[in-house]
Amino acid sequence: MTTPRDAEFAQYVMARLPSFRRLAVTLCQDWHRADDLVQAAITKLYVNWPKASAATSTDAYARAIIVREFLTERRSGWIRRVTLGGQLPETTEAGHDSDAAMDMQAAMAGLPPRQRATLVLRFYCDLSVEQSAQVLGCSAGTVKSQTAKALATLRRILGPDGLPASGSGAVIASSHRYRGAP
Amino acid sequence: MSTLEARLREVLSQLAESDPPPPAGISIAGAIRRGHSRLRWRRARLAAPPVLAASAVLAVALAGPLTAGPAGPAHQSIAAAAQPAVAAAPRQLSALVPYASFGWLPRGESLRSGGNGPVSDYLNAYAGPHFRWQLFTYAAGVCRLSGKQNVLSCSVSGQAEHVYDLAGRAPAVSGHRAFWVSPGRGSPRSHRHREVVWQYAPSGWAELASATGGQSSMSLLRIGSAVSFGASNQQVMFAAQLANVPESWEVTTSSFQVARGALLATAVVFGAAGSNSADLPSVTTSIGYSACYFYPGGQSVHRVINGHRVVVNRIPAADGRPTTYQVCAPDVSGLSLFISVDGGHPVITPVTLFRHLRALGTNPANWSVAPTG
Repeated sequence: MTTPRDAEFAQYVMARLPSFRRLAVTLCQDWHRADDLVQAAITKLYVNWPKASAATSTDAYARAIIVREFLTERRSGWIRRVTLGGQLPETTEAGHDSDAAMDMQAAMAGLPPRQRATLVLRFYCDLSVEQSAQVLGCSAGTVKSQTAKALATLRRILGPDGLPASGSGAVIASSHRYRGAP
Repeated sequence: MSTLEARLREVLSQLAESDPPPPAGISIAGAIRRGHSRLRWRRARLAAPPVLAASAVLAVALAGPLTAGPAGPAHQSIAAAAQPAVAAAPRQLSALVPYASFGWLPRGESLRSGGNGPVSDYLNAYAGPHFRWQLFTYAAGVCRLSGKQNVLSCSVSGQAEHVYDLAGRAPAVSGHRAFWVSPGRGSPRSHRHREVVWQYAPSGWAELASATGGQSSMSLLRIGSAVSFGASNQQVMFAAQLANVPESWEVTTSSFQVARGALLATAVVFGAAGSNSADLPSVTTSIGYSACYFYPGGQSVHRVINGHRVVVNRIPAADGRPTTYQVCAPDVSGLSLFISVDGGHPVITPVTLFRHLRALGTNPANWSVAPTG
């Protein structure tokens, strides 16, 4: 016997699981970690389902849970268990574009989690500054400054066009070492 | 937009669209199971003292009017809203008609969504973007009050048990004994909510929860006193019907949203006596376009069925989860539809169901109270 709440929740998650995973992988940059993140997030979503299902946008509510769960995990020492560098997701494209994409992903991976989440919300989810601030639970000014800092870091690593500058490998590698330090 | 920003968008999309492995680490049932235990834990670690103090004040303020009838201007409105008692709670609730209905809500607030199942119903009411009130109704025999009257356990399925840690007696609701439920101490102050449970009929219990503080205890009791029990006159309506399905199929649970003045069924789960309900479909409907996910690796195919573009998914069994068949239609007469069936050998595949599906559009005048037809 299933409760209507459970059935509604299961239906909702089943329909949205692919998009949750896509969002999670842009944050984690690894499908396995993304799945762990989604599992933790949907458990939280279930606990808060009455509010989530009654919200104007259940999708926005779920998105906020995923992003906040990502940030919480990163704060709680999860980052120390992450193997950094050399394990970027495979892409189907080959050649220069693929290399450039991998460099961009590596540079993204070197960003602090909050800055990475900000970029994902602004440039993957296409949220406005105000909407991103709502998801992150901070002010619009903080979103602007986090975005600016993140883009400046990417420019420094990849060059102004987002294509690898010469010697970028060394910069990315040092960024990884810094991030991985306990 | 700078070149870097454009490149960033492109790379993030590329990453999201890259071939994902099967979602091996994700279990919806697991999330529900863990969610239940978290809810139980949250309720079990509650602190009574502050709540009891608040309850006592409220009890003094409200016990008279709520239990003994009108005694002044402020009390008259509460008493006037009180509904007649229900003689007996049903053993089984309808999956298509809410058993309870709100009789009074604060100005501007209204019923927005809910769900119906065989032994429990719920209704959500609010105004604006924030959830405010939720009413749970349980069928007869589902809830059990502990001997010390400090815990109410409502067992609604094999796995789910709603456990209410009771903080003390509340003023009677419509003359029925009621208890305050302790709020979670660990939750942020802004998220603390008030809950009251009451026995609306012998062996039948209801719970009303508020997501806000302030005056909500007063409103909670007033709303609770005005709740009517007994099949409401509003049935769930269907904007899409399954046709040519076995007569034994029936809706076991439904969720709805108030849309255009009607209770529009948004998620429906079918079952049949003597059949493995896991092999029967669930159907999700919403008004408006909703994009469909296309699984890579040959799990998804685009098809056109009855002139509608759909995505058909076959997600193989993995890690104890059965094979899942899905049809996702982003736009059928202004509706987005999602049909899903679990199990290796479904009685009817979602494709067949979709082929016989009757979309009734977005005009409530065309909607039906029958889920099949």
